[in-house]
Amino acid sequence: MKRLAALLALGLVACQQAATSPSAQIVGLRDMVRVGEFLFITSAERDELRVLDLVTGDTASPRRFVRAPNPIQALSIPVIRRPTVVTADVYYPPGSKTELAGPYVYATDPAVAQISIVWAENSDKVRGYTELTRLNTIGPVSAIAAAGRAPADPARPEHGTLYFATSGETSSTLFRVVLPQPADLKTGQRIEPLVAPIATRAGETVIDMVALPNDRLAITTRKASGAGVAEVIDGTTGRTIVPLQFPGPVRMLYTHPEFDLDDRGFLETFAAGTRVYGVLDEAACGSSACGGLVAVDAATGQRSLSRAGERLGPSVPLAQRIAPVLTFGDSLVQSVSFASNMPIVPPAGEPQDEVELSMIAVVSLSNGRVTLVRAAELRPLLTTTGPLAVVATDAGFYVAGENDAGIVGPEVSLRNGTFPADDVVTVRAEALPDGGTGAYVVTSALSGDIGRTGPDQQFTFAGSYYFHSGDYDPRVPALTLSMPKQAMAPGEQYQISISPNYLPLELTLSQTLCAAGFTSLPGTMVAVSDRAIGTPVYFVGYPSANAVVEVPYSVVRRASLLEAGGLLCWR
Amino acid sequence: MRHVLFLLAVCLAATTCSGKKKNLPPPERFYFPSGIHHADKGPGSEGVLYVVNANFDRRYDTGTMTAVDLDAVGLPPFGQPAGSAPVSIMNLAVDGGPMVVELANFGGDLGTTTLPDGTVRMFVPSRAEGQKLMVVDARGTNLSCVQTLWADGGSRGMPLDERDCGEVGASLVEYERFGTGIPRADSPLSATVDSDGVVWVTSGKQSDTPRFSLMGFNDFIVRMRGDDLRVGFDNFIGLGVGSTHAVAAGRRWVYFSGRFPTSVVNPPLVRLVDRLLSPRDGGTEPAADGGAPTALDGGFGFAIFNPVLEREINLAEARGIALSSDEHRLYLAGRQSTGAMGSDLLVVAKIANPLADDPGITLLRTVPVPAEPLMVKVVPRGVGRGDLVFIACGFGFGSLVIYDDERGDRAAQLDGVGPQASSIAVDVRQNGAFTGARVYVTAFTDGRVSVIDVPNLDQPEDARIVASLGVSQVCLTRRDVICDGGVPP
Repeated sequence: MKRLAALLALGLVACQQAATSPSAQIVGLRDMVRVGEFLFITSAERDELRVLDLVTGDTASPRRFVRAPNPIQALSIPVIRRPTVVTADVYYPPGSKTELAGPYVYATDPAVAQISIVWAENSDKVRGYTELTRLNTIGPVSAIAAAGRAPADPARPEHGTLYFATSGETSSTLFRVVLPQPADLKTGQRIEPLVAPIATRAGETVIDMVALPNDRLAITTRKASGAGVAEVIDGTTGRTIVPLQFPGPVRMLYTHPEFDLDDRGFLETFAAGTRVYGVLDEAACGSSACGGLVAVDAATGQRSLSRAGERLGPSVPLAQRIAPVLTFGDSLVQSVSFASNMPIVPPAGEPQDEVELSMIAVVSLSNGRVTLVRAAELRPLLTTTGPLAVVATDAGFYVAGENDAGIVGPEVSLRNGTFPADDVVTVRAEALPDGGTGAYVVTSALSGDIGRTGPDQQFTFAGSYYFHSGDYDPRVPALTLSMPKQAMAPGEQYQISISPNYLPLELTLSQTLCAAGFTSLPGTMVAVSDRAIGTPVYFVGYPSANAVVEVPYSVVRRASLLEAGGLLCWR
Repeated sequence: MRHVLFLLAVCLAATTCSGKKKNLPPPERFYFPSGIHHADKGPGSEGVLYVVNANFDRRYDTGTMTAVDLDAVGLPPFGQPAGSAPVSIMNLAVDGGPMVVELANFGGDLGTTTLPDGTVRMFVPSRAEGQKLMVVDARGTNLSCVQTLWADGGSRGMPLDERDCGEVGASLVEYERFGTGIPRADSPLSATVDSDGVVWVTSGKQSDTPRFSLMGFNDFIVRMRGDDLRVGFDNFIGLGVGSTHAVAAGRRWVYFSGRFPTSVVNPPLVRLVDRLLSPRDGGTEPAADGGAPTALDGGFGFAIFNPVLEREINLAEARGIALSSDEHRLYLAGRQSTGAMGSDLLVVAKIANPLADDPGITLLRTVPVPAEPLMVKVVPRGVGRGDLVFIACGFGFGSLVIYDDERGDRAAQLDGVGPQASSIAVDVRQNGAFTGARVYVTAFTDGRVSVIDVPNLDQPEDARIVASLGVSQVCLTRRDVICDGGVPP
């Protein structure tokens, strides 16, 4: 009887072990890409990819690393040495708000002259989820992208064209290759004969590229001097279709799925690939001061208008309607991901009746934070309503817009998106030689002498806008002062201290969220809005923890530390 | 009487010989090679390689420095066609004698300078007992020790074995036994020599005061003038909380990388010390009477600058550090916390004005590198050109990464340069119409030095391993390796 009990207990233990999700033991999470219901993740130091299943159907374990044939191990897909870049064929079905990726995943590294071609479907028991072949290139692969095409079977992705660039001593060469269907690609088959060069770029290196619909490719280059260009080129001939007029050199390129811009009852649908988003290269000036995220229209190459700028119409000069560069303080952008029609809990600085954003971009930063921006409107997602001012007089001080407790002073009106830094505006009554009072002189600590005013007058300062909020209108001055009737004596002054009060939605995770390592430095982002995997989430790869952290949008809020509540760590 | 004299002579001889003969690392091999330096010998010559043998497991009594005449070992011709298998050179042609001097154990990365008479002077820090700063002079392959032990105010005289540089090296923890226990530079890890011949040494273990109190932490680096080889009270400069690993000297500022001390969260990644003597904000005035400074926490009159780079890049610590040839770039081997393998980075920062009071250091980019990056070394390509940067990464079988600043990315990555690849020496040379480089990388736990050729600095992707120098030490250090006649499988 005891033996039977022991055997039963052993059986139970065995069952429990079988149900346990194996740890992926990732070593070197440098990049990841989503293919349908799976995330393909580099484990660079082990020369492999791991696969996170996003839809297990098991409520107790909604995500799980795909198991190896030996189910106590996580599946490993051996690839080239130290893969740090992965990408997949991407197709944007018309009318769909999400892309269709696969069936191939490509793994490479900027210091390696090889590309692993992995079948990212498990439809073949032997060859699915394996590296089918390895493409040897003429030089290190400096950029890679792949375009899928309209699938015959809507449920399954259809591969299209793989593009890659290699770097050489004095030039960079772009190639394209159309692969056979995965089932027709023999394991280890030489595919070098299928590779066709499409362009050579003398004196520069193609450092990033993104595939656009209709066989187009957006590329960005860097020269030894640090300069560079970005262009949309023909994916077959390499011919330049349109130069992309980014305000400076760009180091990373992205495009977006289709999204609906729903603005005050006006609905406009932006087809996938309408815009190209670029991360400006900080090397142009040497710091984050010239970095940021900026968009251009893929068709014209011109800077995209902000939604607010677009609404103003052509009566307003174009330069004032172009969306300013989205900046992120002292830190560098690590990765960006876009998702359309994203439900969200609106933060305090946004309309509270908004339940869905047209398109969101999640951005990981080198300072450890993750920020979210309104990528459709090309502006930050705000937690505050604009600059604050404190007016100091001889009688005391008050916060502009709040109860002034009877203190005589100007009414202050400030526009959202102005005053990017602390400023002090002083209104001082000028003394005339005869002892009388002249005009009030208005000076700004940042802008110097900005004008004159007087008692019972309205003073305006046009200023400039560093982002376009929902009610942006450049014709409305940044600062308006309504001066009281009561005149100041010569030498008296009002001092208006202005704070930007600029707090975009930014998140910092608790560094001990995952059991091993610190969630301190976020890397690749993957935003997911389609309901196929459940609630909308974004996944952030943390190289510092070798883990993928899942953040549901329902828990997104501004916090100094976002703790474990609602967050999941996959590793 | 003659019998008495004979007996006395016998007794004297017996006394003299009673001292146990030192058990030194075999001269014909490297043993836990750490620091490395290459010196030219003239046109057509491969030069001389100086290797610090750290004797990390203390199998032998001391560490050593070995001078290898590279013309005598049979290196393959530089820039030979790709495809040739690397040559294993086991005979270093070192037979002891003047080609080897003893060092204290745990020798680290060395700073070097060339004296007017052509002597190569090397400064080697050691983390062994006494935490010595040793000085070795080399004329070709002839090595000799230079005395720096003056901490007691006068020479202690040469020891019996004049070829033991550890015995005559200055202790960097001399003051640990007195008073507050500071200043002291525990665990000195690397040294460099600036253009004025001043030696700068890091301290990998910040000092507490009183000693063992785990309070009042301050990291004291050492500054020693080249014409006054002694380490006294005023040779220490306190940088504040957080340890230092590596050091690079610029025209005005000396840059120290921040190593992880367990007691500090988010330690400074980089700190700078002004080479000029004039104190600035953040520095402490020297004592008015010209005597010993009264404050220890402000740098003894030296201005210290912290660019707070850790605010822009969230890393746990840094190791190797290097400056670009134009001094407008700072390269830093950035590491994540222990336990998060495979997430390390080369941090590239801009130095806006390297001669200014505030040099304006800002984060420029981060580049993934294999795990455990250690030394960073810059190879210039000429005025107006972007440098190549070599990074030794220790994980696995060791890697050498080549970052090309003109491309803004890694251009090459060589795996298999040896387990725990540590230090790099570079011999830049002409290769026909091109300028290339022969690179030497120590493999700390393997005991060999890898030789890598970059035939053309404009095509770093053509870099390849062409040879290894020495015999693997794993037959001695690892019981799980079965060797055949001292040669591992």
